[in-house]
Amino acid sequence: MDVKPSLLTVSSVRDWSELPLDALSTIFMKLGTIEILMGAGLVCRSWLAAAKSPELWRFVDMTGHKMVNNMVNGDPGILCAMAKVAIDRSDGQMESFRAQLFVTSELLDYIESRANSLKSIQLTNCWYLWTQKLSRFASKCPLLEEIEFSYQKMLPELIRHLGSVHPNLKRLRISLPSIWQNGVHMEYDESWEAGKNEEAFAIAESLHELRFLQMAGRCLSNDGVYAIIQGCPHLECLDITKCCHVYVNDELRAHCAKIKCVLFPK
Amino acid sequence: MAAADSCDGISTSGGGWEKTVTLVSSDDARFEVREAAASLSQTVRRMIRAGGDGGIPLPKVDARTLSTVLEYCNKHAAVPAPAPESSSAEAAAVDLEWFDKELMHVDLATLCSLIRAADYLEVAGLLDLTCKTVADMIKSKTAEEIRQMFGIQNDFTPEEEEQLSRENAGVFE
Repeated sequence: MDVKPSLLTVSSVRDWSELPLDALSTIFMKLGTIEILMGAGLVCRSWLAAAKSPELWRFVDMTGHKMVNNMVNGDPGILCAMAKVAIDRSDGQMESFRAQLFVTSELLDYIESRANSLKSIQLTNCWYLWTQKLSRFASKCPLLEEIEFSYQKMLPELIRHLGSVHPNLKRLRISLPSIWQNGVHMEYDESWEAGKNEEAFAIAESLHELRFLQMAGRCLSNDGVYAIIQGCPHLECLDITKCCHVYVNDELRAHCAKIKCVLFPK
Repeated sequence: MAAADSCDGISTSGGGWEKTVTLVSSDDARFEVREAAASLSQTVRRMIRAGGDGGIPLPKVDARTLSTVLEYCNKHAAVPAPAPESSSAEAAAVDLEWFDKELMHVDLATLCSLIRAADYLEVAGLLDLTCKTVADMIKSKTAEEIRQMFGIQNDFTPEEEEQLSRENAGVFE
């Protein structure tokens, strides 16, 4: 839309800073977390007041912003500080936290001690985090229904731990970029053969209530898929794209027939 | 939309008999509207239920703004007669989307009035549309750029700015 300063009358100058709170909230709801914290929420007193409404911070999404994308090898400090402001403003009401790259163990400590309503955590490519930390974090958030630890080393023990602290977990996303799989297993020997379905078996053994499972690019074979389908009888959506050891044949399709949505590897 | 002088009544628009109501703007213009369209406003719907003579007064909305709001309501309220060309639901949705886009080609002062009117009249779809338009305009803009765009005064005192800077741990620029 064209912005013509000449169209601004004296009354409109007053109007924009005095928009009703509901309208400002509706506008802010359509902006990303970082956009509110760095721009719209700092415009004037009334806009700041609207930006502090806890309602606005129930779903915190810090992915996709250019500040995050440009952070590769950069300093996570400012983004972690912003995440803390978001968590403080949610006043304990934050239900969902989504971030990539910058999340540190210290930030996870901050979240677990303040976000008593957290139902969903989605972390992608957070290389500052160790599996031990993720494991402890999951134990401290009793309401979690959805977990994403994508682009992350995922040990079978961590999956079993998630199952023991959250047996009713509904949604799990643990995708890998396909490039990793080729790099990790250069030699397909017996030990690889024995271990290739470890993650899949761990899921099948411990997460029986799963409705949604995204494990694109993970290491598993058709046997792993069959185990998951048997162990997770309520599964509605399964993403196994980029899983290069899964061979799509009639038998696999027959096993997957009762799942509403299956994304097969090409 | 032409201002009409009649009170609540019956019209034959759209090929069938439809109940209408009269809305009165802050500057005393009268609009006769199908009740189905007017009822997209929760505020008007409540007033229709409460009853009364001589039209429904809307003292916070001027005629120019109200006419745009009603343009939106008329388009979005279910039309009883089938639309001539867009038989499929998909075509109707595309048509509505196009209409919404065109409706948002307004200057900033009008956009501001529309947001206030949609908020006061509680027309949820129009509030969402206008707020989405503003959100798209201010996306990835700094506070100063947004102030300049809308002519908003920075009313923080230097002390408040300093405090914000402390609270936000360096986020405030």
